[in-house]
Amino acid sequence: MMQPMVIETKGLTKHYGSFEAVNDLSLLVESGSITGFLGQNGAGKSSTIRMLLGMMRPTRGTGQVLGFDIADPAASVRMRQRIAYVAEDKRLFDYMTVGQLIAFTRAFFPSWCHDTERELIDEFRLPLELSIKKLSKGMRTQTALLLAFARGAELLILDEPTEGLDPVSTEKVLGLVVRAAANGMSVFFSSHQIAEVEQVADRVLMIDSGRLVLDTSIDSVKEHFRRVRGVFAEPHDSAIGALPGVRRVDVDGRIVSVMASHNVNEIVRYLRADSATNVEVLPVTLKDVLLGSIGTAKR
Amino acid sequence: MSARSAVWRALSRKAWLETRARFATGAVVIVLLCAFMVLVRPRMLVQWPLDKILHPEWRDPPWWDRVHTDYPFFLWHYLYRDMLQKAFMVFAVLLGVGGLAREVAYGTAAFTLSLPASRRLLLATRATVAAAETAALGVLAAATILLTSAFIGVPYSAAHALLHTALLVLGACVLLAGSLCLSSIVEGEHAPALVGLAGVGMFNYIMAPYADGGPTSGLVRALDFVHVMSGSPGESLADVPWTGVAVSLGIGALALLYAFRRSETGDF
Repeated sequence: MMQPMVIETKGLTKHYGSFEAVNDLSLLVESGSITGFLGQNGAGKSSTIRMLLGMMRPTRGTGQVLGFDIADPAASVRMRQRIAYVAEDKRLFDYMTVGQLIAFTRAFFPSWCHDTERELIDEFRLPLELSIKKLSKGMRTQTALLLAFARGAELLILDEPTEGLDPVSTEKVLGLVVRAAANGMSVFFSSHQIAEVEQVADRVLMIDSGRLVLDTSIDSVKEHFRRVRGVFAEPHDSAIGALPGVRRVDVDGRIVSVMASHNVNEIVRYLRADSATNVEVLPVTLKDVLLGSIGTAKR
Repeated sequence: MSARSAVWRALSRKAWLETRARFATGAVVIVLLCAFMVLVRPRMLVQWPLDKILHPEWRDPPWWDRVHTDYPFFLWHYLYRDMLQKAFMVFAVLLGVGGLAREVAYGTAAFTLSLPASRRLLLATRATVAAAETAALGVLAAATILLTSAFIGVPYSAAHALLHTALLVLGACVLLAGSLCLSSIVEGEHAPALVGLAGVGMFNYIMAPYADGGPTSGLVRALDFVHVMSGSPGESLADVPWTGVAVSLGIGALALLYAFRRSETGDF
C-alpha cells in the first residue's frame, strides 16, 4: 500500500543568475522511509533541501513538506515545528555554551524529547558548560545531531550528517537514524558516502546537475540492477541504448557494458543476437549504479 | 508560559548572548568617559588659566568662558555634544550589526532558519534587544554623570541629564536601524560594522563645521544628525530640534522597514 508523502515536489527549479542549481526536480518521499539523497558536490542537494525548508524561494515549481506549501512563509513556520534539520555547515552559535544552546532550541519545540536529550548528552559525552566555540568539529556535529533528534519531529532532514565524525561516531549516528525511523520518523538525508546510504536507506534518490537521475529502492538495486557485458570480435557500436531497462551503455573497443535496471534477459538476448561472442551478467553495487547514473541527466 | 512567549524569550536571550560583549564594552567605555569628564573638571578649571599664561597666543573660542562657569554647558559641550555622542554612535552601529545575512557569513543561518520562527520575529527580537541595550547605555550614562557630579559636590539637574541622554538614545536607535539595514545589504561577518563605522566617521567629519556653528540651511539642520543627538545646551523641551528628530526617526523607520523586507524576501 502506498504511504502518504512527506516530501513532494513538482518541477522544482532554482537558478542563481544563469546557473541552474536545481532543474525541474520532481520527487516523492514516502512517510516512514529512510531516503538517501545522493549526488556529487554541487549537484544541487543542499539547494533542494534549503528550498524544502523555506530558506530560499524556488525560481519555478512547487513543493510540499508534510503537506505544507514550501513557498508560503507562514506554512513554512508551522512545518518547521514538525521537522528537524541538520545543515551541511554545522556551525552553531559560538557565543553560547552547549547547555545554553540546548535550552534555547528546546524552547521552540513543545514536543521536545527530554529522554533523547539526556541519552545523547551521555552517549556523545557532551560537556554542557563548554562554549560551542571550544568544541571540536566532531563534537559540534554531535551537538547539532542532538538538537535535531530531540525535537520530537516527524521528519528528519539531514545534510551530510556524518561529515567530520570518526568511524565510531558515524556508526552511532547511523544507528540513531535507523532507530528514529523505527520509531515512526521519516528520514531524508543527503550524503556522498554511498556505503552509509546503502547501510541504512530504504530508498535512494540521486541528482546530477540539478536533475533527478535515479529514484529507486535499495532492494530494487540488489534484486534487479545488473551489469551485462558483451564481448564482440570487432570494435562494436551497439544501438542497445534504446531497449527498456538500459540506464547506461559504455563501449570500450570490443566490449559493450550495459547498466540495466530491469529487462536483463531481453538485453542478453539482444547482445547475443547482435553477434556478441561472450555475454555475462554481473551483480552490481549501489556505487556502480550511482556512478553509472552520473552524466545521464538530459539537458 | 505560552509557547509564543517562550520563543520570544529564547530569541531575546540569543540576541543578548550574541551582543553582550559589545554591550559590556560600551557600558565600560561610557561609564569611564562620563566619570572621567566629571571628575577631571576641577583639575581642568585649575589647569586652563595656567595654560593661558604659558600660551598667550591662544585665542579663546566663543564657548570658552561658558564652560568655566556653566556646569551643564560644560557637560553638554564635552560629553553630550562630543565624546559621549561619538561613543553612542559607535556602539549603536556595533549593537545593530546582526541578522540573517550576517549569520550566513558566520555559518549559523541554516540552523537559525530551521527553527519554527518567522524571519520577521527573528529580526524584531534582535532589534528590540539592541534598542533595550542602547537605552540601558543611556541610563548608565545619566546615572554616572549624576552620581559623579554629586560626588564632587556640583549640583546638576536630573532633567538635563535625562533630556540629553534621551536624545542620545533616540539618535542611537536611528543608527541602530541603519546598522540593521546595512547588515542586510553588506555581506560578511565584519564588513557591515566596518562600513557602518566608516559611514558614521565620514558623516561626523562632513557635519563638523555645522556643529561648530558654521552656516546652515534648514535642510542641513534637518539632516544634521549630530545636532539632533545633542540638542541645545538647555534642559527645556523647546531646546529639542524637533524637525531634525522627526526627519531622523523617519529615516530610521525606513531603514528598519528595508531591513525587514530584505530579511523576509532574501534567499539564505
